Amino acid sequence: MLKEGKFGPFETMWLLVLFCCTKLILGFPRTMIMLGGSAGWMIPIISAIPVLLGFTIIVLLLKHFPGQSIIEAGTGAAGPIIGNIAATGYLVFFIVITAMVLREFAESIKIMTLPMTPLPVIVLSFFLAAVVCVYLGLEVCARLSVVIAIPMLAVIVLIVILICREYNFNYLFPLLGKGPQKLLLWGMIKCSNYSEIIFAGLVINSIGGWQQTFKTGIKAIFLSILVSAMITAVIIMTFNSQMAEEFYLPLFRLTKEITIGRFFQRVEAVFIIIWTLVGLLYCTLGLYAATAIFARMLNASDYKPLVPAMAMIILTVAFLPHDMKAAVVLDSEIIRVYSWLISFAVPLIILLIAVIKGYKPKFKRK
Amino acid sequence: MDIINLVKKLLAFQEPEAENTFILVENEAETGHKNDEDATCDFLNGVDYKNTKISPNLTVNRKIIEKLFSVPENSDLVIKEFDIQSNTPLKAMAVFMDGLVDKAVLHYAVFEPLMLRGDHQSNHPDRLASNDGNSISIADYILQKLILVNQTKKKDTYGAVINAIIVGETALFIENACETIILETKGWKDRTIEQPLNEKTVRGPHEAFNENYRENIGLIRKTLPNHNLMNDTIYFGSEQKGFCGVLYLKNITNPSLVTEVKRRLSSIKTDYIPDSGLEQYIEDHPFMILPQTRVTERPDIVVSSLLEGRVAIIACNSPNAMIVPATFWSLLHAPDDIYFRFSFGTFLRVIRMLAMLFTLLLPGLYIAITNFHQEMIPTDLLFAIAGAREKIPFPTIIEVLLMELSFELIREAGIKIPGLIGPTLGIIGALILGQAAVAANIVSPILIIIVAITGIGSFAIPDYSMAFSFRLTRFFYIVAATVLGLYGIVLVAFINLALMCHMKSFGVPYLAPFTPRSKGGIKRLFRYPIWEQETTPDETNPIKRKRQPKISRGWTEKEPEGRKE
Repeated sequence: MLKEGKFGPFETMWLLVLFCCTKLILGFPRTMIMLGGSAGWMIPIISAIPVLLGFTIIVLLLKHFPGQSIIEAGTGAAGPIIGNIAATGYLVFFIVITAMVLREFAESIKIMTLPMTPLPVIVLSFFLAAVVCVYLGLEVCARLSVVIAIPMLAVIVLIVILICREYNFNYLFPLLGKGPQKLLLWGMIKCSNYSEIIFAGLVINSIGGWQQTFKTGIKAIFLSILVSAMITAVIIMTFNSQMAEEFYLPLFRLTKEITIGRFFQRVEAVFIIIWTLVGLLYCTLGLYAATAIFARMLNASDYKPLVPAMAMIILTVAFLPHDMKAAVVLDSEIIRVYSWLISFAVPLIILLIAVIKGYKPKFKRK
Repeated sequence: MDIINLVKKLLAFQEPEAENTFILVENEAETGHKNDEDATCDFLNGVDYKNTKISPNLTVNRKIIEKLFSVPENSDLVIKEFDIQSNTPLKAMAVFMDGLVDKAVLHYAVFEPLMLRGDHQSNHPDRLASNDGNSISIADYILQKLILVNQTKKKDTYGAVINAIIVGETALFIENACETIILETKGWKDRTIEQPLNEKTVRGPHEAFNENYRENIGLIRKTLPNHNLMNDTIYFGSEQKGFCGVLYLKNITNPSLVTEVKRRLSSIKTDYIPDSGLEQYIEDHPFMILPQTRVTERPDIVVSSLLEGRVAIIACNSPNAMIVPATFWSLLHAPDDIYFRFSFGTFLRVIRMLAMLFTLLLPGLYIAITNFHQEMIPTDLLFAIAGAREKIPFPTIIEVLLMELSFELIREAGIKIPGLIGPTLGIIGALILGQAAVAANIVSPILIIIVAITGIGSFAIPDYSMAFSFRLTRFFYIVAATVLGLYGIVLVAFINLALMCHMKSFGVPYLAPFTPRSKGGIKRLFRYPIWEQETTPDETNPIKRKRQPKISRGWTEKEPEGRKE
């Protein structure tokens, strides 16, 4: 059993919110607008239904195996072979998604602030900071998420307020954008955007049992969806849906529009500080998740010896896409379309196996 | 042979004998010490005198004491033999360290009563018959009837006697007695209670600790008259017999915290502990730059910390008290925050946080913005900076390092130079250096402003160790900004924050109550009204949490007398 420390509901909530919302800084709003047009902001709201359902399935599965994470629960319910196949699925998901976010963030930093710096320097330094944090442990990640979340929230509120004079509510029409069918379909499929919520099932013992995980997870999902929908709507209201589709980094573009008098005209650089912190935390959590899954698969008592190897794998995967466009396409058009199969469908299958085998929900003795 | 030697002496060159032939060599072989343990003064001829019982023979005792203290080489030890006044005079010997005892106490409370007022009859070598006919031991008789000293105790081993003598107590050996009387006769010159040197306040008490342990404890007891205030003495060290007092409030402080503090202190084994550097032996993360104990010279800070469920450690001869556990936020708080009204207190805390950010980030940000992100600077300001830097031959990093190091140099020299010249040198050095550097086009005037604000920011941080740690960490940010601009600063900040989240001080997370969040934490981060601070900090897990009821200002609930009329 891994020793991961304990943290409270406040830390858990912000940890999950940041893990789920980091993509807002990258191409997420653009994808939503491309799929839903002027109603792109509705897609995250529609996604809430499958995400909540999927999260309930994860918690139900964990309810059958108190004191165990989603990896041990899979092995316990479906046996070592199916359990390890499922764990490999989670592992691959976290490796690929961390690598893609790492690449996208590094490319964004290159575009935004360091155009002359070689990409490997940015990627390596970015990931090195994440590796240091992973070595310090999950408890540190949870506390760090609170430290980062509060300025992040402040920045989002600030952006929404400072850009308000650019709003044109007419851009939100037609209200149903590219049509209700498309909205519903993509809303369901794009629940993959919140696949990171499975992380709660991985660190359930640190959170404090399934009841606490469920309560905090639901809050985190609602907050993440609210922030996602709000940011997408603000982008649509500022640029209109056709124009917003053109931007790879719409939130960055949004901050470029902020002007406060003649003196403060290029305030976007200030936001980059917070964004980089959020990206670093995402990579830390992704690397931690991948390493912890692998350690659990090996029944190892400590994850730290696996960190360098896992870091190397993620770095290698991060350099596989040819350029930023390839990374964005891989992220938004493949991972974020099919990842629900791993994050929600696999736990459902394992839960069904557990129910068929006659496992009943248990409560941990106090 | 003699002829050959004579020829050699006449013809061959002979080196003149060196005037100073002293060479410091290892003398382990000469003295025959087998190990370090044998080398201590507690061993004589292979006998461990530390635990050896006192001899009833005065001559034997004298010889042992002389050997243990290497008399007469050690000229400070005073051994005074005298007769205790009685029908059958009794031989006695007082041993004390010159300079550590109060001679008036020794004279009037020890020698005078013993030598002039003794009145007893001996019927047994070890026992006496007092005037009322009862038979008691010599030591007890002297303690009960003759000695006028306040604190006395009996010891029966040489180790305990030596420990007493070296801290200024007097050992009284009596012929035929198997115990030695230890008399509290400490008395040396101390600094009087003065104003705090490093923690000045506008309001509140203006008294600080000095080097007298007893006076320091007295200052705390005076400020906090509470029967639950405990003071446990812990001894440590081998060559230097040091001790410290562990102070806590029995009804508030978590007992496991007290146990842990005592465990760490009592486990210290070393020959010398600098009185004010004790924290280096007990802190959780010795390699972290940030301080993990709060060191203060103010009794009022100690008292407020004790009431919050913390533990104070006061080392002997130290003019500082150490408070544990310390959190990041507690090190940024100052007494004035509480003495002033809450609005001013909150403002002061915000200013201090800004000062912290300036100290840490300002030089790094200047480098990052001027070298990497010129687009961030508004156009007018950009022209001003570019104009100022036009004639500067150095890259920004050299310019910044030059000024920062000069500033540190002036600061260090200002502290070391005695008397009033120190601050004067600081001002003159900074002014002249800055002005000359700008005039010589070595640094830009904007950089002078940056360095000055950074320096002022570091002075605004109340804890000296904390300010020092920021001054040191600042250089990491400068290097990171030089290499990777703003992005580099964020990377270092991320690692810095992660390390801070990882740190603990005596089991309490360093960033508590911000993260992990605890009940009522926000009320202490920003200074809420004093009547709203109803509980002690949650992070110290105190036994008693409630400090005051929900409505502490009872008068707000009652109608004024005048209105009834």
